[in-house]
Amino acid sequence: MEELRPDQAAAVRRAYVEGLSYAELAEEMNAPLNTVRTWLRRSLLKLRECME
Amino acid sequence: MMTSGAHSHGISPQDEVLAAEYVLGLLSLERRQMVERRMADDADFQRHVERWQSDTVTFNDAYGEIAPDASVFNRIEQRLFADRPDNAAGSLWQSLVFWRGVSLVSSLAAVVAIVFVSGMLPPTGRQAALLVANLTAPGNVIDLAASYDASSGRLKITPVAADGGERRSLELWLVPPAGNPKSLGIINAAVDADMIISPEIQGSLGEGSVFAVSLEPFGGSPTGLPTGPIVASGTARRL
Repeated sequence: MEELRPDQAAAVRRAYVEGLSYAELAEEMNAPLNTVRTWLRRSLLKLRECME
Repeated sequence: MMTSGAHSHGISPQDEVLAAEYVLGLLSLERRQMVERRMADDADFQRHVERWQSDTVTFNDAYGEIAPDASVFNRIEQRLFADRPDNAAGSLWQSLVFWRGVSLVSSLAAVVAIVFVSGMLPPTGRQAALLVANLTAPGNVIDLAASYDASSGRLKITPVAADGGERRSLELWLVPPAGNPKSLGIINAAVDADMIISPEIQGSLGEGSVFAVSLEPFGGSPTGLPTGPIVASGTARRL
């Protein structure tokens, strides 16, 4: 998680711990849903890469 | 092999993301059910889901556990159970009392497990009555830790290593006329007990014995001999 940018790590953490959906994350970040979805998916792949 | 590490074992990045989204709870009901069907007949995919589960479980560690107060707990129960018609009165599975009991028992089990694992005891009234202060001045090698027990009116002052950002311990030594110093123990401000001298050392302790205190790594000298500077020393005499 330390390898991720703080905003990426925070979004992943909040999705998991607080159960936020893509729509809720998008609303919080004030960004389009599809943008947030793509961005978070990229963060997840980065996270997997770091944990290999 | 031309895998990038992000999708080893033949799983595609799409499936890796899908497994992560399932574990993080980002999927719709329909997609969740699809993932669950997939897990049932694709062992490789299932392993990837399990890996995300074990990787993310540590996220919980950043959060402490607190018990909701009664009003919050009641509202949760209202939301969970209020609109359910109690048409099967007497059925154990629908009994609020039963589930309350289950919830209480499992909460207690969790608390017991935490206390057991960490070796910590719940704060007692006595601990609540304790006040502590660290007495220090610039350039000190030794500070003084004062602890006051309001329940007994007892105040104790113990020397502690002045930290300087790094935890260190003060160790008390008996310095014999010849041979190596013998450790008498760590001066511990946290433990409310006198230092007990072991019987084999008691024989060599008397008038003229030299005591010394050295600054050691936290927990005491790793070698059994003083490794840090002597911060105080003195000779015992009869009162």
